[in-house]
Amino acid sequence: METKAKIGSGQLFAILILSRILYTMLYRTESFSSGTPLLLGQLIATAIEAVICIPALMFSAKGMSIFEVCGKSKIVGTAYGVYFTWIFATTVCDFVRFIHSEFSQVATPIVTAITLGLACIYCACMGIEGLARGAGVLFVCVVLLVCSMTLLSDGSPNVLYLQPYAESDGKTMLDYILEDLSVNRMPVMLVALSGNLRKSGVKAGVGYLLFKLIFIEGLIYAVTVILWRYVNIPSYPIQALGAYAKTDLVRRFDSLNMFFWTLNCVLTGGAYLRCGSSGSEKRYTVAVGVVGTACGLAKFYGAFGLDESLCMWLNIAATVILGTLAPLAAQLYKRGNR
Amino acid sequence: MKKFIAPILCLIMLTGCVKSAKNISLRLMIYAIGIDRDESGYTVSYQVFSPTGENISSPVNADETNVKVISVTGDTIYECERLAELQSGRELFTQDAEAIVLGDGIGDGDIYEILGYFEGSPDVYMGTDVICASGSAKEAVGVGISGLSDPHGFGEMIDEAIAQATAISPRLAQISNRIVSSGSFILPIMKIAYDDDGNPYAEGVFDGVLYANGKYSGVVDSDTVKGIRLLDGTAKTVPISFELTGEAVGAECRALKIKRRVYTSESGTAVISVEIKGELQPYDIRKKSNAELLVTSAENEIKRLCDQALETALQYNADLFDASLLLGKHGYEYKGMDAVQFEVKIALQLH
Repeated sequence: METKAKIGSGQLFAILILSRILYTMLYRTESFSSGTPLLLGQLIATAIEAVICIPALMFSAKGMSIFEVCGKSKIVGTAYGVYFTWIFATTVCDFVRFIHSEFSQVATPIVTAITLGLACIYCACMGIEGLARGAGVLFVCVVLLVCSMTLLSDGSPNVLYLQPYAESDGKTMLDYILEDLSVNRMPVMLVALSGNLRKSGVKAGVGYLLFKLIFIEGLIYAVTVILWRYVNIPSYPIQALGAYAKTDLVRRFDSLNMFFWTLNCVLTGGAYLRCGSSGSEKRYTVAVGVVGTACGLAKFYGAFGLDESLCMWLNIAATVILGTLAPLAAQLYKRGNR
Repeated sequence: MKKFIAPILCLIMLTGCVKSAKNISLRLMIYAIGIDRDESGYTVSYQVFSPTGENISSPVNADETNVKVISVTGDTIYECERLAELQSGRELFTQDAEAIVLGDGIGDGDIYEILGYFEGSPDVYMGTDVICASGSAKEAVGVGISGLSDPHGFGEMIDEAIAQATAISPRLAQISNRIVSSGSFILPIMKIAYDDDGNPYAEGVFDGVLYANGKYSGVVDSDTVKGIRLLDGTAKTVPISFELTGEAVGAECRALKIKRRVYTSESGTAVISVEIKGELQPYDIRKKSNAELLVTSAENEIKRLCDQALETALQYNADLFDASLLLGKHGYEYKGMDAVQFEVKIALQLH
C-alpha cells in the first residue's frame, strides 16, 4: 500500500476537476441541445452532487484511508477496483469512439485503445505524486485553452439564442441531470485518495463543486450564444467551439483542444488506475490497466450488450454506494470500534 | 529507458496526421469556391493558390497574384471535388476558403443542398462566408484574381460591407442558425462589372438575395439591408444620403447604440420597440451650420430605411430581425410578422 506519497489540496482539486472536464469535452448534441435546460440542469446536478459527497468530504477531513479502516478488506478493495476498472474502460471506450468518429483515418480502434492503455499504465506506475503534479499543470493549460477558444471565437455571440425555460424542456433537463450525475466521480475518488492527502480533502472537494459549476455553466453559455443549434451538425460542442476560434497565430483551436483532451485522457486514466489498484504493487496497476483496456475495447464493439441508459444508472448507483454509503459506513464502524 | 517511453507514446498518440499528412506542394489551397448550377449539373470553380515561381522549390513571386481558377462539372459537389483532385493531382484543402460564391442560377432547392453539403463537411471552416454573385460564380471567383490586389479580397470585401451595414454577416454557422430560427435569411451579392476592355472586376458587396421562409424571394437593395441591420440591433455605423434644402448630403451615423425591448400594447399585441441612438457625422462640415435641420433630415432617413425593411419583412412574412427569438425571450409567442408591431425611436446627435 502506498502511504508515503502525499498530495496537496490543490493537486487533488486538479485531478478531480480534470476527471470531470474529460466528460464535458465529450458531451454530444445527439442527446442535448445547448440552452437554458442544460444551464438549469447543471445547477441542480451540482446541488445534488454536493449532498451526495458530504460523507466523502467528512471522511477525507479525518485523513482516513478506506482500505485501512476496513482492515484491508478484500471485498472493499475489490469493489473499488472493479469500479475504477469499469470507469477506466469507459474512458478508453469514449476516447476510441471519439477518435474513430472524428479522426477515422488515424488508426484502428485496437491500436488507439492499446496506445491509450499503455500511456495510462505508465502514468499510473509513476505514482500519485507524479500524476498530481501533471494534473496541476494540465489544469491550467485546459482552463487557458477553453478561455481562449471562447474569447477568440470568430462567431458573434447572440444572447437571444438563450431562450427561457419552457415546459417542453423538462425531459432534456432531467436527462442532463442524470447524465451529469453518472459521470460524477468526485466522491469515490475523494474516498479512494483520502489516504494520500497531506491535509483534509474538504477544500479540494468544495473547490471542485464551485469550479465545476462555474466552468461548465460558462461553457454551456458560450456554446449556446456562439454556436446555438449549429452544434447539432458537428456533434461535439466543445470541439466545435474550438473549430470556430481562429487567429493568425493559431489557426486551429480544435486541434489544440484535441491535444489537451488526449493528455487529459491519459492523466485521468492513470488516476483511475492508481485508485483502482488501491496504491498496491505495480503489477496490480498493470493488471487493472490491461483488463480495463480490454473491457473498454469490448465495450466499444458492443460486447457487453449494455445500453447507455443502464450504464448511466449503474454509474449513479456505484457512486452512491462507494462515494456516499461506504465512507458513511466506515466512519460509523470506526466510531463503533472506539 | 522509462523516461523515453512517455515521449514515444505521446509521439505515437499525437501523430494523427501521419497517414493523411501531405507535403504542402501536394495540397491544393482553396481561397474561394464558386458554385453554378444548370441542366448539366454543378460547375464548381476553385480559386486556388498557385505559386508563380520557376519551379516547385523556388520562392513565390510576390509581384504576381499567385492564384488561378480550376473549374469542374459534375452531378454533385462531391463529384466535382474528386474531379478537381484528379485534374490537379493534388488533394483539396478547403479549411482556409474565405467564401463560397453561389452563381445566379442557384434555385430554392439547390441552396439547401449546397449549404447542407458544406455544413456537414469537416473540411470547411464554419466561419466561411456564403455570398451570391451577380453573374456566374465561375466569373466571380475569377474576378478575385483580376479585380483585386490579393486573393484574400473576398473576406475583406465582405467585412467592409458588414461594417457599412450593406450586408448581413453571411457566415455558414450563422446562416444555418437563421434557417433553424426563422427560415429567412439574406445572402450578400458580389457585384461584377466590366471595364472598357470587357474585363470583369468586382464592384463590391452590396444588396442581397432574400430567402424568405425557405424560398427564394428576390433581390433586396442595400437600403433594405441597412434597415434590417438597424432593426436587428447589429448596425454600428450606417452611411446615409439625404436631401437638405435641395442639396444632396452624405453623412455617417456612428457609434450606434440600439436597444430592443418588447411590451404589450393596449390592444394586446406584442410591440417590439427599437431605440436607436448615435452620432451624426456629415462629410461636408459646412452643413453643420444648419444643425437642427441636418439632424432631423438624418433621423427621417434612418426612419425611412427602417420602414423599408419592415415593408419587405411584411411583404414576405419573413422574420428578418430575430423577432421570434426576441419575443420568445420575453415570453411572447411569435405568430408571424403581421402579428408584431414595431415602434422605432431615433435620437441622433451631431458629432
